Amino acid sequence: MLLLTVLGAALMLPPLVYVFDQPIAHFGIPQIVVYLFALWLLLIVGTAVLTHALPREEPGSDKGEGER
Amino acid sequence: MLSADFVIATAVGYVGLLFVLAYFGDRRARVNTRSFLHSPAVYTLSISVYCTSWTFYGAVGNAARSGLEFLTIYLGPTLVFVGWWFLLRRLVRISHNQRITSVADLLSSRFGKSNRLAILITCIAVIGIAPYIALQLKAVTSSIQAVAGSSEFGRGSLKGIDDVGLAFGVAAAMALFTILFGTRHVDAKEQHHGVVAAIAFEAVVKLAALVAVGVFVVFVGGGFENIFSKAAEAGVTVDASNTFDSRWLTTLALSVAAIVCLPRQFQVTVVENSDENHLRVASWAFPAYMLLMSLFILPIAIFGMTTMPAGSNPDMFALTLPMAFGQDALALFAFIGGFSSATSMIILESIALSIMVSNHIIMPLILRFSSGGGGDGQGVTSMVLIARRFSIVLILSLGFFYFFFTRDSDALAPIGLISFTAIAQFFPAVIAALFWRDASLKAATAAIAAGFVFWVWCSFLPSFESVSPQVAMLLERGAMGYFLAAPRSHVRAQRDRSAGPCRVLEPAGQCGDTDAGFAPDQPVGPRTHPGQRLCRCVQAGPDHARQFRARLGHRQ
Repeated sequence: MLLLTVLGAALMLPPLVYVFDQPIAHFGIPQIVVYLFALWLLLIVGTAVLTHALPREEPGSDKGEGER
Repeated sequence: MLSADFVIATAVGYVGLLFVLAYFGDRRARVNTRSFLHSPAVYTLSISVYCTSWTFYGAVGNAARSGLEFLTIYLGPTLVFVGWWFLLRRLVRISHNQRITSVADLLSSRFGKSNRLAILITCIAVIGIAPYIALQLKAVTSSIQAVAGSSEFGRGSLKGIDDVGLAFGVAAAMALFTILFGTRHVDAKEQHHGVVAAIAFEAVVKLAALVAVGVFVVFVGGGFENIFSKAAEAGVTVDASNTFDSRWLTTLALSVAAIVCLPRQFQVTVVENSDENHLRVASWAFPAYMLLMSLFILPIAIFGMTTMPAGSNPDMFALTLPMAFGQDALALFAFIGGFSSATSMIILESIALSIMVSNHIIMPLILRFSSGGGGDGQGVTSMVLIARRFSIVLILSLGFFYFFFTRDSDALAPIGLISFTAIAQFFPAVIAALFWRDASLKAATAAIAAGFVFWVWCSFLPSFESVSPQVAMLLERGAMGYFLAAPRSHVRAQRDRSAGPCRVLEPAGQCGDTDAGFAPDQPVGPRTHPGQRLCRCVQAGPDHARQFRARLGHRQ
């Protein structure tokens, strides 16, 4: 999960975002727009999947404070 | 054709509906703690109060003015929610254990129950949020004016009422409704189930309205591809070559701070949270909500710039586009969507702030000066309620005055960024409160106070520059030539370094002048009207394009 957050941040910041900032269009939409929305969608799906895999908390328990 | 009277009547009716919803929501949530109102879906929808009329109107205008920059406001919170396990989960857990009711409460109790720190934070929050509330007033006012201006029935009962009068009416009505909504009783946990239910409903309305306008635009424009290619023919392209600079990084960071520290976000995410596991759903559902919300913003902006006559305000495209195509029902829906995004923000923000003001400023004062022993439980409760009502009126009047003094600036999004910057001053302290045991009270206080001083100097005062010659002169000279240089000179220094227009934290719309040669980057000051689109999104003249490309090549 930490990996996903950091990866997401890195991919939407310079310099990595420059890689996708080309004046090409996919399906008539500029590539950078497609890229940013695709990254966004990927983050959402990734979070949903990862969250599902994480252990559910028992209310009041402090277990799992330090783990990923 | 829509008439202004009809639109205003609809708005009043809509608020009435909200009130009914809040009333029954409240009753239901009390009777049945396992009802739908305690579900993660409602929790997620209430978090999306983050999308205010800044999103509904301002983001379209921002997209038209500065291209993809509007996305940062939503990508930042996405990152926070993707990483909920580290930050939000901890925040919610600690706040539940210590019965935290606001950001001020959190910081003061984590740093040794310091009431001084709480007062400082409350004052900063109240001042810092004023521009944000002004933004909502401005959005509602201009949307009503947009309807009235195009109506063939004339201005109806709005005849002779200018922007200021209208905004005052809106502010007064909002204060009344917030008082009716939020201060009916005092809850020890500071939870407002009824209000949250109404906010969740508003979240659905604004999403549906924006998506409806978006689908309509895509339909009329003949699909995404067609819109982009038609726009390219008309000379409007998404030129991102200059988007990913320091401003991109800064607004992203500001929005990360805002989603945690904004008083209303703290209220819905942390205080109104009834079950930690709701965060699991919100962690992906809230980013998904924002994705849906912004999906159509770029098409609306680009289509509006292609088809609308030059000089029309891009902030209002979501409303004026359907009107231009004669779709009155859709325009009305869009108006209600924008109105609901503004009302939800104003109601929740002023409730959250009034809790801070009454708990940390007014009540301690009253308790100190009242002769001890006199107040019974009933008396204190009614005193708290009166304090809250007073604070709500105070907060909304501050917002109104900010609107009054800065009504000449055009764009919506820059006003919001001023508030984001103020609120971001709390972020380091919040992080320290959660993760760093050794952080000291003095350091936190000093950091927040220093940040506030710089904010006033570099962000808040410059926004009055265009209306007050005194302020302009003060800023031009610097504070009596002392150690703070004039904020303009920061701007200048920045400008010289990047050989581009000002790109500091200050909102672009209010920086005064830019160097003539670089005007394409940002619309500036009262002298440029919104129709003069001088932005990254627009294809600039060949000279500018070459300069941009040269700069870009340099960087890579």
